[in-house]
Amino acid sequence: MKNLTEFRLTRTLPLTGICLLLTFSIGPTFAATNQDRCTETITRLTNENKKLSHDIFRAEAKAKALREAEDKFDPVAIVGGIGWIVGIFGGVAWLKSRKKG
Amino acid sequence: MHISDGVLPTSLILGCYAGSMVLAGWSARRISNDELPKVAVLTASFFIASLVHVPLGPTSVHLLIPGLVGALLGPAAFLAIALGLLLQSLLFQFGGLTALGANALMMGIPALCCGFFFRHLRGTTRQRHILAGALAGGLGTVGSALLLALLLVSAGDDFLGVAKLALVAHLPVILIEATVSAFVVSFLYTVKPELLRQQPFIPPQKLNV
Repeated sequence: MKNLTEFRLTRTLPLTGICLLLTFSIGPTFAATNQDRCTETITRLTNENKKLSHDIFRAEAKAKALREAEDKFDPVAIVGGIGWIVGIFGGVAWLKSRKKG
Repeated sequence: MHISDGVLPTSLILGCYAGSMVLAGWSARRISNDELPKVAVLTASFFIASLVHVPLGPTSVHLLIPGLVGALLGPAAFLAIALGLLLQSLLFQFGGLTALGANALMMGIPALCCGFFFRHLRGTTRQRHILAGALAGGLGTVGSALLLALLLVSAGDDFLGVAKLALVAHLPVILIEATVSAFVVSFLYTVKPELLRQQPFIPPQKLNV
């Protein structure tokens, strides 16, 4: 019986010691690595989010500028168009008056 | 409301060109010499009206005034609209050149109908003129929206869906055009009533035969 107790003490104590050593030495290292990874992922995601927000902002600004450009027209084209209309109808009127004459 | 290039099938494009050329030829023959300046002014008005944008949420729609042009020009309206659309597509890139025939039919036919209604509904009093003008102005855009839906059915779209969308999107334009037309007709009735005279749709000598 005594031998058995001795055996248990001599075998289990070192094992327990090793377990405790592992828990207190490697455990925090693993935990630290996981925390680092999480922080890294969060940073990466935050950066990506910022970049995407910036891209969306730029795209929206571009769309707004395009819409504004669409609403604005070249005054030369407007005057030119009216000139064409007056010219065409003037020409037709002149031809008709010539035929009449 | 202009149809762009590549939306309609080729057969329809060619058919619309043929139809619009026939109508433009008929319309040109119905213009008298005295009417030429009036047609030119209204063609220019139609050409410019599309630059008046009405903001509507994220997008904007623009005036069309086929009803007003039809009411004031009668049978000459089709030629004025076809010429206005040609210049709009060349100078402002509104609608494609290949779809010009379809666009001309889409706005020209309601204009002719509005001209016909205005001629027969205006009566002699100022109130009747204003009412007929407002009706013509509003119905011109309604007719254009319905014809747009009809043309897009051939491109595979659902008629009721497109018609509903086009009518809802142009509801403010319909109201604005009815108001503008009523004001223009009222003003012309007071200031220069002879401008409200149209050429008859059917020549009188043909009616006598």
